[in-house]
Amino acid sequence: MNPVAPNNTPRKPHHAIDIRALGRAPVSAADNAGMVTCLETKNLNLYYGAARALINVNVTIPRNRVTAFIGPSGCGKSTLLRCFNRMNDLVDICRIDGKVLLDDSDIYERSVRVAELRRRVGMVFQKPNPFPKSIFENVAYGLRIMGVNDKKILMETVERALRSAALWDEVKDRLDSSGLGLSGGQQQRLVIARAIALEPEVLLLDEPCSALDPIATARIEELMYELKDRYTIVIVTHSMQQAARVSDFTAFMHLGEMVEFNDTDTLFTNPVEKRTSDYITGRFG
Amino acid sequence: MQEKHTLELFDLDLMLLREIVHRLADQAAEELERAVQALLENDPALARKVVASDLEADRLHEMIHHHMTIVLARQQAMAEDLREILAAGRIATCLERLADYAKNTARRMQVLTMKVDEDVAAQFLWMGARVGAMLSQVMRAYRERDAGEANVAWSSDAELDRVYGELFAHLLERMQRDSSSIGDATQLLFIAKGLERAGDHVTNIAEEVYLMVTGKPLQGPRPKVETIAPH
Repeated sequence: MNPVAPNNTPRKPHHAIDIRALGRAPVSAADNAGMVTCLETKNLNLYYGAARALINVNVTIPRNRVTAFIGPSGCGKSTLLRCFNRMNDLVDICRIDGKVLLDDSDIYERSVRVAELRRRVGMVFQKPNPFPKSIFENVAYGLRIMGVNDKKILMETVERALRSAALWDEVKDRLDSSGLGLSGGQQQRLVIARAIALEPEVLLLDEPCSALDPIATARIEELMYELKDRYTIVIVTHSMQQAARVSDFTAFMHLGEMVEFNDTDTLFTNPVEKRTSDYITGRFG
Repeated sequence: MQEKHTLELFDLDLMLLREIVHRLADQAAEELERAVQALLENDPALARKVVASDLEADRLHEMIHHHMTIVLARQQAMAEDLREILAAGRIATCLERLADYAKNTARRMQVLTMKVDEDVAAQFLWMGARVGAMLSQVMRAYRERDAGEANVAWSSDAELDRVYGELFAHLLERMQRDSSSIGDATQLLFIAKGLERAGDHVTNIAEEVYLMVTGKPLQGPRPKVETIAPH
């Protein structure tokens, strides 16, 4: 008897979508091999008067990734973030040594124009801080400072920035209303739109969701995920769950030191340093 | 010794989870011991008690999964805590399967027509004791968070495979020699296979303990003995 001929119908795969396309697949060494460095610190020390707030920090922030800084209050994470666009220059007693490189250039060189640096490295703070101006003017503000007054360019830029910040649909019919009339979550997205309008390379977010409710927080987190294709994002957060949800890399800081920098999946499941493990499992801090 | 969490309720949650896992391990070990005893002493009444008591193993298994779900929802566990909670669920599933093999042994012994021969009985006694000893060792490794001991337990399954192979060959030969023994011998083959699989589940628990403690999977092939019996 002839054996039954095998069924030649191709087996239908069980999976219907390319999981890598979701952008949530585990990061492999090969994925990281092609990464480009955006920001880098070399032996960075920072002093407020006699107090040393950052101790020999060496960190490399990859381009087009979300990097989160976590650690207990006073560990230096916001101080480090503010080094990336020289916000600490505004503090009289602040002094730094070591290097901070943006695209391999030291941003603390004398020749660096700080206003231009801050255009390239935008920042969003804990408390939404829209200007007491219309929604339109809030977003157009940076461009006007740069001398752009062409109405068509301004309109196009404002719309693009508001769309990128996932706010356009909510405000397109009231661009002349005050930015202060928006909800907290909308105000924070307006501030992000204001930063994006200047086409920065880097977005620094200093606890951007700590004053927001869970829904508004989710919108901002979703936004970070969408924006990382175009920008390098560095976020300081007190919420380890937020860092675990949104970031590709996480840095744990403690008492001014960079204790561990690792890909987020590893740091939250199998950290290398005991101090990291103790902190993320709630054994100190 | 692990340091305490800042939130001590989290320690209590984990302690409770560990405690239920140990109770399930004790339950499975007792079922196994009594099932083998029922087999060797030809005691159907004891076997029926083993079958009935397996409901307790099912209840503990369900309790572990319920509690681990609650702990995950409450505590947003990370790192070693996360690994411990996930390990508890997987270990519980292995223990529940182990208890099932004990129950199946007890069920099958009830349909045997004759008392088990002394030479075969010795091998069943040895296999049951071996699985029990491996389980004790791996649960000690779980309690003490001892990756080294988990590794030793993981490697100690080969002897069980060897004895299973001998038993398999012996029962096969008996069936060939005496066709009237096929009914009983088939039941005994399934029982032997169940004990061999119970040993495999213990090694799976060892893998879970190792991963829980170190964050890394046990590497390399597990020592195996090749026998004529299919594993």
